[in-house]
Amino acid sequence: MSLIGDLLSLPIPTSWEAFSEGPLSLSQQVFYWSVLITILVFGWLLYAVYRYRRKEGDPDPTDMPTAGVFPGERVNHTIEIAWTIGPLLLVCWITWLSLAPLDNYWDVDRGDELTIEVNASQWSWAFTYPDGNTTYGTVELPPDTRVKFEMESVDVLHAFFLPAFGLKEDIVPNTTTAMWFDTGTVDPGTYPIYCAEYCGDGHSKMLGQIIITEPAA
Amino acid sequence: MKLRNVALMFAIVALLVGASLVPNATSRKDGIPASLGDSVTVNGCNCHGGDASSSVALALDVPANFTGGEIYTLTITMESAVTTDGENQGGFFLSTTQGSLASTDDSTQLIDGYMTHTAAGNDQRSWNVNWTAPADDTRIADFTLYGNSVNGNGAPDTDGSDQWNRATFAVPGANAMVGPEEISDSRKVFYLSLVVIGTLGAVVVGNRMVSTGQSVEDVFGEFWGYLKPWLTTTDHKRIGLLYIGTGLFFFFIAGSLAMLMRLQLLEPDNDFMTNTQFNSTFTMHGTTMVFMAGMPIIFGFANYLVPLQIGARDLAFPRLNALSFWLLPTGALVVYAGYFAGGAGDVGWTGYAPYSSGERSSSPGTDLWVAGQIMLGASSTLTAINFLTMIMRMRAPGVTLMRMPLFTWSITVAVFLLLLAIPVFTIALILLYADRTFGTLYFSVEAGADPILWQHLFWYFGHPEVYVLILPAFGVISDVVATFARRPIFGYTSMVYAMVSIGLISFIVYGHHMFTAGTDPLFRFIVMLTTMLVAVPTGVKIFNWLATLMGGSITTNAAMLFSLGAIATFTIGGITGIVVASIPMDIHLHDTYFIVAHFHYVLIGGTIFGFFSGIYYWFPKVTGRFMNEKIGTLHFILSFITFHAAFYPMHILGMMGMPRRYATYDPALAELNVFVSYSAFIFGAAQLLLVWNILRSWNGGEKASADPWGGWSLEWTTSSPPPPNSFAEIPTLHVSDEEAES
Repeated sequence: MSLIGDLLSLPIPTSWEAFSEGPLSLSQQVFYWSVLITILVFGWLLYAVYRYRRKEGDPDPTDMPTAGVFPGERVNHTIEIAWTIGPLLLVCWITWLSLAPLDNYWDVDRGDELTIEVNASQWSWAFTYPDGNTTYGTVELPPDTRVKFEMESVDVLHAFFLPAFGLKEDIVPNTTTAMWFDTGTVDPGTYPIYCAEYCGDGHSKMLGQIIITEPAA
Repeated sequence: MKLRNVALMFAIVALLVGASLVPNATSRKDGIPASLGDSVTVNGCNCHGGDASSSVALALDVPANFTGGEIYTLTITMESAVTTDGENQGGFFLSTTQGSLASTDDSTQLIDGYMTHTAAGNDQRSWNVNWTAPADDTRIADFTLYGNSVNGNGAPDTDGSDQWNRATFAVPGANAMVGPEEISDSRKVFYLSLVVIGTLGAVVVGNRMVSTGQSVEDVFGEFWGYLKPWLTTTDHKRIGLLYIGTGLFFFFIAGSLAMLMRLQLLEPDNDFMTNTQFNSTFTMHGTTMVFMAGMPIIFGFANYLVPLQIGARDLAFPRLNALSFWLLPTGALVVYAGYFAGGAGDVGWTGYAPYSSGERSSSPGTDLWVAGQIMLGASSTLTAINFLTMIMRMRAPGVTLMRMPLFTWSITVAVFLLLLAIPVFTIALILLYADRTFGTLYFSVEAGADPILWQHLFWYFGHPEVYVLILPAFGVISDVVATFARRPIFGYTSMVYAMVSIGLISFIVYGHHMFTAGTDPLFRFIVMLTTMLVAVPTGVKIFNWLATLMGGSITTNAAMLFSLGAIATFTIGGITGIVVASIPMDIHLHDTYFIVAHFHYVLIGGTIFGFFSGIYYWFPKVTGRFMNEKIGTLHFILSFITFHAAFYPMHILGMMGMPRRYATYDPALAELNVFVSYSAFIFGAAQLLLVWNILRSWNGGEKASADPWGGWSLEWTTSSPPPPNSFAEIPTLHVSDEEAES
């Protein structure tokens, strides 16, 4: 991609597709409101600065402040209440939209078909399959399978981050954390694994690969 | 006890000791047993003669350096003048300080952590063993190898017919520091000249003091007269300037560190810095920007202006105020001393335990980082008490709470947050210091400590802290926008309520930094909602600023431009704040460059632009002279454009999944990263315009009157610059006619 194309793009990871369908979905709503509010603020600001710019010979505003005198208050309760209630409703709406997709992320039993144990240590990944085999750095998953990652750390905090899919969960020593992933939602191929929680010297090199195999023909 | 018995006892002890030293008269065809392991480690193969012999050549084909966690096959070979007919040729003993050893075939065996031969391996003089390198590639693995070549008679001979030798091998990890670093010649010259200059200076000064009986003050003459007031002052105006000067100094230091990071990120897998150096650089950049640049600039303005704005002669506790200031450079020196102690702290500005509390984070700079931060925390706590007391007790007549300028209100809320938040951080740091230094176990997960305790303590402080950084900027913007629109601020009362409610909410949102940390889902939901709520009072403030402009007579000079730029940039930073407050989105965006973009939009676009505006706005009050408008406008235009060029693309990099705190990135992201780096270089260079402008305007700017811009608050009623005691007499704040009528 060219630099200009990159700058104008809004790349979304695959897990967001679940809440990007249709104009009322979370990510589209957030996008529309962000653009709308930015245009509103920037437009208002530029309009006001241009419209009320100081020109030679302009009279001073009648309520111009003078040193040592509290200038009194400009107030319009109706409009102030409006721009308090408006944003309040908007953020409640965004919060409401944010709740539904959480089913995909939170600890709910959905009949996992494959459980992979992830063992993170400074600075490598170990994956243990149900048959007891362990691989280092690379995990290979069958297509169309609901996978549960059960993650443990032997030393410090790490985070298991699949950037292409938008999935991330911290790996916390003394605790088992879990992350769910349905390989049916992504194309077969090789994707990177990053450690996303700073864990010391080798943090930027704590990389791995996740391979989704081709479905058997 | 009789002498004879004592002698007997000595004899028995001597015999026992001797027996343990006397060669054990059994051949060890099937390897060295665990019972002999320690003896071999200390004494070598002394069953076969007391001394090692150089006639035995031992080799171990170790790699030049190792990669963490990798498995290497090492071949041991022994060449010796002692020969046999093929059976019973000898054996070996191999131990290592790092990683683990394993057999590859039946000729070797692992006993008690060391490798030795087996009966099958006794017939050869070359063996293969596997070595798994430790995961930590900053370590150095030391191997100790003993080889024994025997004559094959089945018994240990001490007469020289069996020969053995010892050899050691060191294998550094790929990222290990080997040996002390060589000091380059140019550095030696630099250090030497410092020593010479220091010594000569001491001799000259000392000589004059002794020979002419002068005091230090006399010797330094006029220079001392200039220096002493700054070193000993308790005047809030001088301390304010000291704070701002220190803050700007560290702003440039931390900015230079940012430039170094962008140099490293000019290409993927760049070798400009090592990982360790990169980690120290982002740690020091963040820590410096927040605690040594941002907070001091804010408290410099607060020191100078709040007493003037409320008509007080000084802070409540002027000497305490001086202590607060001097703790800042002292704490900063301690933190920066890490660079001279073998590497600055490398735990990130958030210092997450258990990494920061464990032995893996062994950089001496981290101890100094913790110690210095404790000092900075003490400084902030004292400052908070000082300001709260002054604002509550020392307002001039007419300055009621609801008639304070909004900058003073913002400082009031900020110091209240500091008073409640900073002690928690200081206590967490003390616990961390105890863990690191005295071996306590507050954050030790091995001992069963809560692994995310630190995150709770840190963010309980950390989130109010970022509002401490942004609220005073809101105050500056409010004063500047009203003044240059020549109208009163729109909705003064709602502005105050908005700031107070932002302050209150800030204590119940911190969990949004821990959406992926495995915390309780209900906890995550609550903080998502409260975080979203922050947008409401923040939106009120933005709309009030915009409404203030309406019907005004707007001058767009440098001060106003920076305030308007801050409103625009902060709006974007606020919106991205809502994006990352939404848990489904944050799960992807957390700890990526999207977060880096978000908080730089808020803290540079909001705080720093706001305070740049403050510099242009209050410079005439402080010096009695204007800053140059042309340079100021150029400074704004360059800063605004290059800021967005440098930080907007980081949103996209974050969405593409580039993690923060990485010294490298996916090569596919190279174009954007190069663009970001060059924009950042120009942004950094543009800030030199501010320094130049300040220096040339300090004595050479156009003269300014007491109220050059038409501001209303009390600082504009005194002369520019203010007299040493600030006001000729304590002023009274009057009320405008319309206000008095209503």
